[in-house]
Amino acid sequence: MRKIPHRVNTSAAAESLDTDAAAGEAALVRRAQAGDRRAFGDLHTRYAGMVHSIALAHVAADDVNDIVQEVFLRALQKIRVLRDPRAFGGWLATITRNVSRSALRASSRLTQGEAEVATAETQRHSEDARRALAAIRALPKAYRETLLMRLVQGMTGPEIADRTGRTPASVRVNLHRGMKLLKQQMHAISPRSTR
Amino acid sequence: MSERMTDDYLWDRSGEPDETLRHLESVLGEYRHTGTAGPPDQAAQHDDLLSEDSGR
Repeated sequence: MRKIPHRVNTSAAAESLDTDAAAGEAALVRRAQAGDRRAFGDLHTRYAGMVHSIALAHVAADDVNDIVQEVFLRALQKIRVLRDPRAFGGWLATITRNVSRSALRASSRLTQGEAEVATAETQRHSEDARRALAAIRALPKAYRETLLMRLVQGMTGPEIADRTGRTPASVRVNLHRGMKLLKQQMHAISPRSTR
Repeated sequence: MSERMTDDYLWDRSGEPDETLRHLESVLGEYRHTGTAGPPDQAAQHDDLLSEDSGR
């Protein structure tokens, strides 16, 4: 009788799970492309946090929910033209950056009265939160979105890599370097906040 | 608190956060997406396709 091995190759097992997850997600995207409403809803649930974080890196906090809605509306309208279902996360991130830039251009055309309303709305958040968000937005571009996904949405590094399509190594480096710079920046603003 | 433990926490929450990281998570949580709005209506899928953001 053939012996069953006692030790499992955990690295191979993890790789197999990753492959299964990627195949499952590609299948979900294909179903959404075929008009499956529930599949698109699942994609929305899975990616809303990523979209929200990317938008928050670019536009005022009070505009982010509108941006998220607009991004998923465009994705729904155009998902059929996405050729590689495995590229869904990166494709959605690009749409988010485009929609955010358009919104920024539009907000730069606000009248003074409209701008005052927008500024007043941002006072809903605590001073500490606004200061931390401003410090992240002042970081080099490569770190902003990754840190917001981690610190605002609570996504782990592997989840960020999975959603964005970036390698885990690149996400890990961005988190590490971004956090180091953020701590230096927060310390420069308020030494008490980085004990 | 070792730097390694904080790095692990930053990566996958498996270690212990330092005070700054804990503070940042706490205050920035105010901005978290709550998911109250669902996906857009499927009827939009039948709208004309826009030309930008073309498929990869």
